Amino acid sequence: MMDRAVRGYWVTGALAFMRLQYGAETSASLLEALPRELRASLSQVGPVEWVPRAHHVQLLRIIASVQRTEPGVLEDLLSYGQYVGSELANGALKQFMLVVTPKLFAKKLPNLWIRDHLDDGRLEGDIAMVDEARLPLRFTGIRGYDHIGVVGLGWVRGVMSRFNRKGLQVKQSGWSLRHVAPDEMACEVSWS
Amino acid sequence: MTSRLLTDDELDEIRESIADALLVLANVTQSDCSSQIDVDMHGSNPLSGLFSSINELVAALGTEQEQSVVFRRELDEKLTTIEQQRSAIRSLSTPIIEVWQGVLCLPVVGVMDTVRSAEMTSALLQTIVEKGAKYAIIDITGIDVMDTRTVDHFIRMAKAIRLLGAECALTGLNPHIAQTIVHMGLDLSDIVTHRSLRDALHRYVAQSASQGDGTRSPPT
Repeated sequence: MMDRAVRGYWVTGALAFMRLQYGAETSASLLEALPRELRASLSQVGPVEWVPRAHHVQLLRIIASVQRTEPGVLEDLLSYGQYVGSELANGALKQFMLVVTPKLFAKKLPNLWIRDHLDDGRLEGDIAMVDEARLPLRFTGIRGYDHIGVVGLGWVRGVMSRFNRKGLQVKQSGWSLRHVAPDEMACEVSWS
Repeated sequence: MTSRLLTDDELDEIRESIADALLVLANVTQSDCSSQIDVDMHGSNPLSGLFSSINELVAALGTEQEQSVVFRRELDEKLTTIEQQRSAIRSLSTPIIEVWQGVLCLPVVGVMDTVRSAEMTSALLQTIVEKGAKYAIIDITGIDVMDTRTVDHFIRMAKAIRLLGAECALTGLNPHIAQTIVHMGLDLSDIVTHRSLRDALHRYVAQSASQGDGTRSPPT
């Protein structure tokens, strides 16, 4: 197993998201930025296989390159994370999601992060605020992992959509186009 | 045995341990058997026994999976070897020799089937074109048994060769095959036959020489 790695479903999710979001043709032309061998190997990746973080970062950079404005890039990255989270919550974690409450889910966030990213960064949720329809999140140790905080926030939103809470909203601080890989990020998911 | 209702904390604890177990099982459903459920055998969790059994099953499944990977790899290697051997046999079973300038010889040994016949025809036709050959001798000294289908293969081969402007001869028919052909009423009139490779070679080399190919006649 490699040091800095991510579960394969993030990579296959990125490829599927790009096809959905930008269309097959645009997606294919965006992916031409990657070496041919890498493109071929990424499409063969299994969902729980470990993929080098660097390959995931390359895909994140491609997604972040599509929009011209910071809000546009932020929205695309959040949407990608949400897509992956939603697919997971409705797929492999379907049974898990039937058992957990938002509070328990928040408690399990560090485990879920490790499940997907090993010890490459950390994600914690503030359980105390869940009763107030807020889940403050904190990403730490993510320096050098471009856009992962924003994508992670979108992922939490995607998984939490399984709880059928209305008006799921997210906010973040720490990420910007000038600082795509801060060491820490504070975020929040809230609902009504 | 007395019973009591579980407290909220106990319920939460059970819910959490079930969630942990489901997380492990989610990995297993995706072929990752590396994780295990945390089991506190000394605690009061009534699900500990169940989780221990699940852990044992996951571990067993993981072992089976590893073995399966090894078997699959071995199988892939064997299939690769078989394909390489098949390819080698294919090339060895169609040895086309240019025995004289413009004269090709194809000694056939073993059993003729449709696939082999097609490969043989294709290789022979290609060599005729490449070498500019005028004569092709198919020597079947190495064939013991011939049925209607095999004869049909040779007739088709001869027709294809004629379409390229070359002549085709069948040599090396043994008495047993000759008898069989007659008994079965097979028609070999479309194919020139010679008793031996030597006879055919002598004729074609002489023909080549008389047509001014610049080749010497073979010794008689």
